[in-house]
Amino acid sequence: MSWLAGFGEAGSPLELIHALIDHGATNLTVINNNTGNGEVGLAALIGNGQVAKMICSYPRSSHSKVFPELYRAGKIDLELVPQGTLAERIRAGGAGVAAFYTPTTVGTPLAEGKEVRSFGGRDHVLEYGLKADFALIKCETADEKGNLVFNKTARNFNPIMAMAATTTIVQARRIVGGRPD
Amino acid sequence: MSDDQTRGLEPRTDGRIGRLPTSPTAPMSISVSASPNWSPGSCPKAGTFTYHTENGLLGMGPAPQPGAEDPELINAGKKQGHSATWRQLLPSCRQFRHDPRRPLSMCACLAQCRSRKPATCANWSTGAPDAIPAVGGAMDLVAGVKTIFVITQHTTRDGKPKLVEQCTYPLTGKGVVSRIYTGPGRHRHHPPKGLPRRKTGAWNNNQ
Repeated sequence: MSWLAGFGEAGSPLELIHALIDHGATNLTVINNNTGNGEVGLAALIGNGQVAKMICSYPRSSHSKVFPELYRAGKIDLELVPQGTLAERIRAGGAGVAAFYTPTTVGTPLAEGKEVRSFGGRDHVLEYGLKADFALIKCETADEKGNLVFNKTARNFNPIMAMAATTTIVQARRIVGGRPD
Repeated sequence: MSDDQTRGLEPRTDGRIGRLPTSPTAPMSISVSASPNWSPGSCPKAGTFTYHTENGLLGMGPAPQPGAEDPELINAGKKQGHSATWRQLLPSCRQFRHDPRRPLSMCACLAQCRSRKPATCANWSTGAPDAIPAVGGAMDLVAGVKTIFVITQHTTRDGKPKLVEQCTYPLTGKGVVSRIYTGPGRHRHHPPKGLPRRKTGAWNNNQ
């Protein structure tokens, strides 16, 4: 199971994803907010048949038909998770929290089959923390000790994915000797 | 929010909001989902509000001039370079719980909806076998935002009404919508009666 960070193209580690394509690993479960743009990065990884399952919140893209075509052909699985729940599942996985309750999805099809408990008179759905073997992430600046600085909205899922992976692989625009600015 | 605090709501024919309610006591945060590109530009009093996009930009401003776009400063629609006059950049885990002192207080803008009684909305899947379900942050917003306004075109591309007696699409939220803005009019939810069948002369359920 792998995290691939980024929200759209912002913060997406395109070069690392293409290195994964060159590597050739298959039967991957990939966690990303989206399913890639155009025919590069995650869209290329999916199009290359290396991804068996996507866990994401928004698999539609006006610029890429790779995922929809494979999904409609039954060649890729989808676990649809609301974006905030997805982020919290990743954060929980990184923080050592096994599960949590959230009011998001109550009364909708995405809550079907899940445990529901009432807190303060309001129903909440049980969601589980997520962990992964690898995280591929992108940052603006890194130092030799692995401290990272992210740029503007390219931050998105990058820090929490780094927390929740056994191994985190980073691509950095700049590597500095001391602590990053 | 009382009606006294609501001023001059004037939906435009393209479904945009002319003016939004303002609070005399506190600045409001507006969380924008699904079609965020026009919201600051469509609100004459944009300076009164703080716009939040679900990819972590609190304080979204209008689109930049051509040539000034920044691919790493984007909104939730993945459009580049929305500059911010005042901003806070948040990681994904804080996007929907960003600041307890300034809670998201008013609005989620949903591009597609079906809503009627009891003010449900659905914007992420038609439920058709070949549909690609895509929920994004809409469910998080309707679960976590104080008041939900829906902004949508009045009819589908093939002319069918989006405000229906019974929502048949998979729900985004149940009983969460306070108002719906469409081109012809503003439709306010009155619990437990639901939305009025006819709010303005320009609208009826057969449109």
